[in-house]
Amino acid sequence: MTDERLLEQAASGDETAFAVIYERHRGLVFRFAYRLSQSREMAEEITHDCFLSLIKEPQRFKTQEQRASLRTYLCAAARNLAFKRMRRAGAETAIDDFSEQLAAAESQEPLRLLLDAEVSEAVRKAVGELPPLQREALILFEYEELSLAEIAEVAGADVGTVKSRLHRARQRLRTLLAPYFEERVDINVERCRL
Amino acid sequence: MNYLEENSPDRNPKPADEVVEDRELKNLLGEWSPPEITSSLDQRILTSYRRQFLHRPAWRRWLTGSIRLPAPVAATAALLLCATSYLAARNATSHSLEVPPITAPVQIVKVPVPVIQERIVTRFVYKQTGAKKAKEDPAPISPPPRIDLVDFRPVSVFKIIVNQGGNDEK
Repeated sequence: MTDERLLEQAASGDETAFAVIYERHRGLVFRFAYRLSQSREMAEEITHDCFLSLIKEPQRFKTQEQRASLRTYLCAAARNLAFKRMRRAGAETAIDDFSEQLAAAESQEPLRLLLDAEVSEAVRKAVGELPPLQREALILFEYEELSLAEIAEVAGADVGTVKSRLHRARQRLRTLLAPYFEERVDINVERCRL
Repeated sequence: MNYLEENSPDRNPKPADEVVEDRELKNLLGEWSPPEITSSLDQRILTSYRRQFLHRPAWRRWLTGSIRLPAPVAATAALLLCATSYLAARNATSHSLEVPPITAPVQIVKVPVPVIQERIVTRFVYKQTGAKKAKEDPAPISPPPRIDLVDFRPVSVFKIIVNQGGNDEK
């Protein structure tokens, strides 16, 4: 059954239909919200609010139905909620202070000695350092594997802008995680020698 | 600076048209996994969903509610509705054709009606008083007069009047 049909039934009180929609999309919404906000609590709040707003106002999705899938609609809703909460949480200051110059990266400790858990933490931090719009484009493209057109729908921007954000996000991540790239190469070389 | 406009495309150069897959970066990004969704979140969301419908006023449920109907039943109902509407429309049309034309102003014409006038016939019956004399002197027997009923017409009212003065014996 299609998402649109399920949503109609869920909006009229069919709990089973709602459960199916939730089961289909909860992973995407939660992962996206978590990676965007870098907070489990915030991601849970966003996921909760996202699905509840979908049920409270299903007509908001219906008006966009011609051009958006439920997946992109939910991503857009999660994005707006995440940005709103991040602003409220005071993340705005840090993001406004962000410079395209990569001075911050130079001051970070090298990641050479990090273990796997630490690598994960380093990646999380690096992604978290991206400006929100770049982070959004990167997460949706690299993690959730949405197309550029879909990301453009979510972000309310054109495809060219999304490409630009994605490009800059990758560049910045390569710089931030450069030590680890080298480390991985070294480890691989060592493994080959052994 | 606006929160969302910090990286507007005007401020930064555009990348190449194609988005080349960066396998190495993708693998590295894969090292960071989000936590699993807890069952408490699932439960919380389902509870909120139920509460949403429990607290909805009845009028709103009436206005926004819907019912599930099997497709054959819906099709039959639609067909019946169409047929009924068609018949109703057709009847309305035929009734409208039977409407009498506008009549001319009424004219009053006096027509003489024949009135049947009843005739009242009065008959007198006389009682003979000299019966003895008649026995003693019988008159010569003459043939009874012939009664002709050709011109007889029955009357609607028959009135009999008895004259008491004719009874001499009393």
